[in-house]
Amino acid sequence: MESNYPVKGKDQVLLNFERGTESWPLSSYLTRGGYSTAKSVLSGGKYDSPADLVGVVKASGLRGRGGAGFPTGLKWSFLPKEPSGPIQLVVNADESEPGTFKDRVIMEENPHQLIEGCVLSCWAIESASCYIYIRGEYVPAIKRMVAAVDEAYAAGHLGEDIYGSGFTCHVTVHSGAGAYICGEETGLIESLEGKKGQPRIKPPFPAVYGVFGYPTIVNNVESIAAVTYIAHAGADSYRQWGTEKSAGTKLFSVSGPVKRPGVYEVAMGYPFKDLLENECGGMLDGVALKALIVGGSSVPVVNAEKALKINMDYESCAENDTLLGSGGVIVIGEGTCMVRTLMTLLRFYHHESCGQCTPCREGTGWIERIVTRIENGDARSGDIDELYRIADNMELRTICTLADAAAWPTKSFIEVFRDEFEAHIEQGKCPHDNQFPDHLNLRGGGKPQRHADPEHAFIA
Amino acid sequence: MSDQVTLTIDGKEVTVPRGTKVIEAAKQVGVEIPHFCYHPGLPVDGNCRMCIADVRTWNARAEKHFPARRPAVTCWTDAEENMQVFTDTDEVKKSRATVMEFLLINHPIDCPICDKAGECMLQDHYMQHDGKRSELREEKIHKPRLKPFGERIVYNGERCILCSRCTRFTAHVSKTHDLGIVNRGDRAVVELAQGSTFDNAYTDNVSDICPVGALTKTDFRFKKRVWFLKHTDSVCGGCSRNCNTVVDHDRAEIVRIMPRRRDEVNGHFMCNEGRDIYKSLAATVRTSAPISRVDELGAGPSWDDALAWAGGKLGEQKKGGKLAVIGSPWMSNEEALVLGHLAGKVCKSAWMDIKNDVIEGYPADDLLHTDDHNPNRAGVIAAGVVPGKKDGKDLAAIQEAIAAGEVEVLLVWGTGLANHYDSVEAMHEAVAKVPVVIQLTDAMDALSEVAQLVLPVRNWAERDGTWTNFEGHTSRFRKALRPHGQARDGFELLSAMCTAAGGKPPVKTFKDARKKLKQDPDSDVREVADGEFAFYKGQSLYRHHSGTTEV
Ligand SMILES: Cc1cc2nc3c(=O)[nH]c(=O)nc-3n(C[C@H](O)[C@H](O)[C@H](O)COP(=O)(O)O)c2cc1C
Ligand code: SF4
Ligand code: SF4
Ligand code: SF4
Repeated sequence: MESNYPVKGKDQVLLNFERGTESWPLSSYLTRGGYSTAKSVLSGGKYDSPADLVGVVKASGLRGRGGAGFPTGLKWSFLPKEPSGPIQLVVNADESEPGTFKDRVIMEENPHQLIEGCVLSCWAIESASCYIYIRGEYVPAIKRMVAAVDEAYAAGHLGEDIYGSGFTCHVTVHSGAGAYICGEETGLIESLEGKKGQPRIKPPFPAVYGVFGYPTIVNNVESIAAVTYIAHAGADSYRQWGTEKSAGTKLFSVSGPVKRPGVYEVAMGYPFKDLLENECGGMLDGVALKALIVGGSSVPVVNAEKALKINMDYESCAENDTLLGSGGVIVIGEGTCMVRTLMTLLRFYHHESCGQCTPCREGTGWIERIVTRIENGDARSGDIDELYRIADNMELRTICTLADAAAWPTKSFIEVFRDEFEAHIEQGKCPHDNQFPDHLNLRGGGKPQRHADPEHAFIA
Repeated sequence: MSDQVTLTIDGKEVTVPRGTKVIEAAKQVGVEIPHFCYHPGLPVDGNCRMCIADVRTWNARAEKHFPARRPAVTCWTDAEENMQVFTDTDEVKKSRATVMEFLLINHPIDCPICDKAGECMLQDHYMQHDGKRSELREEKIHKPRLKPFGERIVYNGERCILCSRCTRFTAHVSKTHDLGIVNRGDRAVVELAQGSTFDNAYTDNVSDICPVGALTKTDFRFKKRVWFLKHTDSVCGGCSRNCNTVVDHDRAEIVRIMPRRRDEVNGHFMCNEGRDIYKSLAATVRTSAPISRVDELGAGPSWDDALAWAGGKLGEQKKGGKLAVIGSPWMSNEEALVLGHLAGKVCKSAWMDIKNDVIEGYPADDLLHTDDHNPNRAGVIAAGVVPGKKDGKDLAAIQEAIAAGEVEVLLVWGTGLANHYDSVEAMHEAVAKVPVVIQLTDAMDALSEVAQLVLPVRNWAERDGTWTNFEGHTSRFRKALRPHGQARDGFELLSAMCTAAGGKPPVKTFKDARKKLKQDPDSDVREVADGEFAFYKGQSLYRHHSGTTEV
């Protein structure tokens, strides 16, 4: 099986560079064959028509890497045949889901592959303009992307009449202000237009009515970066990795008490067990696996037993009652208070709810307050069911899925770790004394183990 | 594709134009879907989640109905051919109760001191859809409670359910962009835009459309509990728009005026000037009985004597005499019908025109207010008081005739004749040349100081009638207040004058008058349920892009 997934090496789809080297300048990208695909596609030598390329992306089985896993080629084909205005491409680089930090690696270390992906995607969907919306806190990523876009313009890979092909593509890097909700595609669009980032009621979907009212495709950074490979190597080549329904490779950002947290590119279907043992070097010494949030903070948590059964693909996650999400792998070690963990997550959703829909605006704060009471030992036995009931009521009743994203972890934490909630109530206090374990080094309290050989050192 | 679609709502079939929202289609079969943020006069926002129903779309290929993946909000879902909507299932009821629960956890529930109590949508729905006692153990979120938004509106952030009706109003209807929602999540509050003084002509509408008591009017705060108010359908006379209104009163005085939906006239809204009109009404000086300056009648004649005398004077003018009639754009259509008949038929033929009773007010704008500060010029003319009908003599010509001493009897309805002279003195000097001046009026003015006979009539709040606006739409106003003193109904008084002048009134009853005027039978409709609203048709229903691209 070893050869079935790329781990390290130049033939990787996304992390196709020697890590730890200066991989981000244009000169480095060119040594990896950078922009050769764009040249051959734009000159008309590679595909007969944009529809051809859309077909290849469809055939590749690429599914959106932003969380929902919607087939990218299919999404592209929803663009109206007679568009009401110039088609827009928006790259969603808002990456704000707790636990997810994979797009930043692409932007910081391999920005030109994203830009080439933008050019190719624009060519496929017949768009001349692309926005890359980056979360405000990602200052290094913003700097790298801006520098790379400048380089690409200067070298003629972007702009008017690229390579004399007659094709024009402009890329604008736009910085958000640090709001999770601006990662939801229509919230992003509102924000991009200069308004308060609040998701729009749908339909119409962005493909019909997007940025400035124009037909718009919104895709995740990783999806667009993968298009570069797919356009270059073809659908079959991409499908050499992964499973029938989860094709290709995927980035996973692993955090938690593992020896080497970081971002790894593996083939879909790669067992979590192997990811943990091989790539991440296993759990920290003396810390056992307790639970796993496999796809970013919004997906249901699973216990260790189930975690070890998961393969990193959509089907296997579904079989194990969770979701692949955006690939933000949060490993939870033994000794971690699950009530406190949930409280921390819910504080995030409470803080980030945009506040338009009643159930989300009122519910996120409400469940956070209840969990906080449980954590503080100030709860009654009925509170657990009450918490579950309220979370359940938040589901499916809102404009976007942020409310669901707060409800799912809540329900799953209760389902999987109900005994811990009960212990808080029975003891009238947090059995962990309101502390996260030392190995997390969150409060600066105890002495953390050092992470050996960190996979990434991010430099601005 | 046909432009009509047929669907069922709770089993009732209804056919509506394509593009109609389910919530509006439901109204047509008498199904009221509960909601807070939806307002037919505003772009849809879909934020409150109250109007969720079980909406099943028909899939022709599968020959099956499919439920929506995420439950649909009916304010935003288009009615589709063969759609099935269920608004009364256990699931839907649970959904509503859920939304109610979320709305109430941070609501102060201070109904006993809230001006909206009694007409609050939250209160109404609470009774219908939740009805549970609040068992919340969590501390409620606190927000600013007494925030002035300009001089007329006070904001209470704790009562606010963040439905965005007020901000949509300022963004899309008044287009003044005064209000916005700032902050996220449950910290969100409505704020006045920096630098805005919220002093435009339409601010009070935000209080009417606020589903709760978060935006109260300084003019109404703590004045009256609404359940003590009587409500009478009325029409605003502040300008020739004729906004349809509801007058809230206690028979003796008006406490507030609210807009009433009338799609082709005012849509859903009205201006602040129209709301304040009751104050100037209360401030007018009136006479409770006829006043005479004629020796044979004495200073305080009885109605019978006064009418007989006036009829006699008018009767003398029957044969081509020198009679001038100056009507008013404040008369009802029915009154104008009788006055026109009196001037043209009973007295054979008189010079006639209409004066400008009120010349000051809000300037015209492109929302509602017009530049004529009187309600019924169009209707009065149409009903028969036709300017210059005899000899082409219009008001200016009549004024010349008065100055030349050619007018023997001058019959004036209402106030404001002095508006047509340089000064009150000039008016007094002119009318002194007329031997008989008879004024029928609901308020005393400079003319009342000199007229030979002043006959008090009821004002718009004290009588029934119709006005026709500048666009030709007729609206009905009804008697709200007890008449002042012996003031008489204008229609009935003018009819009696026809008889006193030796003629016959044109019609017997008010109803006959309306028939004769071929009035638009819709003129007393309370609400038009077709979901269209005349004034906002030109704009995108989609809130996000009203300014740039239209969908
Ligand atoms: C609350 C919320 C936050 C989201 N944040 C992100 C994000 O940070 N990045 C992202 O790519 N997609 C995010 N999404 C998903 C996007 O709405 C959208 O589905 C995605 O960008 C589509 O790209 P894809 O098809 O390539 O996955 C978020 C969705 C929700 C509901
Ligand atoms: S679900 Fe929450 S975040 Fe999403 S639109 Fe509604 S209030 Fe905003
Ligand atoms: S003030 Fe009233 S109208 Fe405005 S958002 Fe709050 S509840 Fe809605
Ligand atoms: S617009 Fe004219 S008719 Fe309407 S309320 Fe204002 S003054 Fe009255």
